[in-house]
Amino acid sequence: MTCLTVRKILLAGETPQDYLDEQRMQAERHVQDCAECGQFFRKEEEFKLIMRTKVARTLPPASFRENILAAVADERRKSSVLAGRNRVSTKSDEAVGTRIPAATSVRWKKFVIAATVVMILSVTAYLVLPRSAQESDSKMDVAVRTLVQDHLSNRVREHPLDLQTSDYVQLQQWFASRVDFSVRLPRPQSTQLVGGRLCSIGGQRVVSATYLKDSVPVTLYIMDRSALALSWSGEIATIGEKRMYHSGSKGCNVVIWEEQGLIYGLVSELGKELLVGLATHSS
Amino acid sequence: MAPERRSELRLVPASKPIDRPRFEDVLVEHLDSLYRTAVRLTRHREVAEDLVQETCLRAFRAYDQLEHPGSARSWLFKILLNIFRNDAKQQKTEFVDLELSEALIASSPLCEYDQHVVFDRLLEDEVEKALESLPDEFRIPIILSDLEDWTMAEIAEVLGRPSGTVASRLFRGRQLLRESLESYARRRGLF
Repeated sequence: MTCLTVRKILLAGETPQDYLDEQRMQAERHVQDCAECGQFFRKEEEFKLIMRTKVARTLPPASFRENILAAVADERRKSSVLAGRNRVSTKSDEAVGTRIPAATSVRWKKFVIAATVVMILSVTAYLVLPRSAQESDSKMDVAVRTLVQDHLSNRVREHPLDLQTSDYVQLQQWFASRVDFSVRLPRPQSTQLVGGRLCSIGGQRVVSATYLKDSVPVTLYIMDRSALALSWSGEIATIGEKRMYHSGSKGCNVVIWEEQGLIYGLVSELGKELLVGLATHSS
Repeated sequence: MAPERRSELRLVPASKPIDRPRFEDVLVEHLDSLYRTAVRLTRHREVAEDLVQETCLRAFRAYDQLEHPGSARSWLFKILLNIFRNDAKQQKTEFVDLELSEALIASSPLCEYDQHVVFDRLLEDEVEKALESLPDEFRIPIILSDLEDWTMAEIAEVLGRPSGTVASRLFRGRQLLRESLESYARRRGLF
């Protein structure tokens, strides 16, 4: 039995009848004796294990199960009602029919006309508004949404942090060997460092540190300028030497600023003033 | 002639419905796994939620047709994959039946480097992107086998394909994934 034949037999997977299969048993004995085949299968198993640990087990949102069961319960009710109706004489069903009373018909027409007017006005407003403002805002909007999306999706990961530590020096040293820029983690007042992770935004490696402020998570992002295309317009405040952009998305506030050629972003469910305060008073 | 033996006449009992568990009790056991797989397939959480909901509703309507409640997992996943594949926006997954061949195995060089050293330093995001970039015909078997721990036979049943085809897709998929991750690792200077 050649090595290739052995690998083909064993890669084909197991069936409950395999314990009877002489060919399979021979193949398994071969792997025990053959260094190359042994290495081949060890590497396959190793790769599977690496995939399993590297690829995050995505947890469903908290309301997911409830929503699904509610939908099934609703479907169950509908099918009971339908089953009940099918038993009733059809004459009464025909009498109900699909006639819409006259008053309802008039109200419906008014609603349709009003909705059409609103749509036309909205489209006109969109076309008339200055383009440049929209385009600039959209770059910042995209940046904000990207950071918020990462902040929110990370919270539902099984392992949200690569390194759990409250030691700034340890975390900075951990980042130092993993990104191609110098990492100096801000120390926002009255917060507790929880740990950090590396993430990928815009194809670039991004430093992400998690803090707690009054038990509310705050995620800090540090990245090279090339990771996020930014255009400084919109809600900008200059506080001290920092020019800061603020916005929000999906219930989170975001503050972005640039410092020494790096982009910093703070994302949290904390209020805007609190978050700007953290960004301003970080040492 | 011997008298008719009434005791030998067996009355055939009226067929009674299979004593099956409540649909919701069967479903909750597999919800998390359905969601995880749906996210991997659709690459979008909200779309995945919709996909799972549609799966559950169709399964509920067809629950009476499930012959063996014990095989609910593969039945639910078959429905999930059928909806996913039939979605007009998705590229149809071409599962051409192709047995695992020695030529395919021979084409894969023996991995000489320490995979832990090289791949452990890759980001989760990078590994996920590499997985997402695989064509569905390779990605789906990897999701079911390597991430959800299904056996080859179970995957073959869910996909409605011979085990040989699944083995071939799995092997080739891992090969492509490894090449993709090696490429990421080289760009990062990891080896």
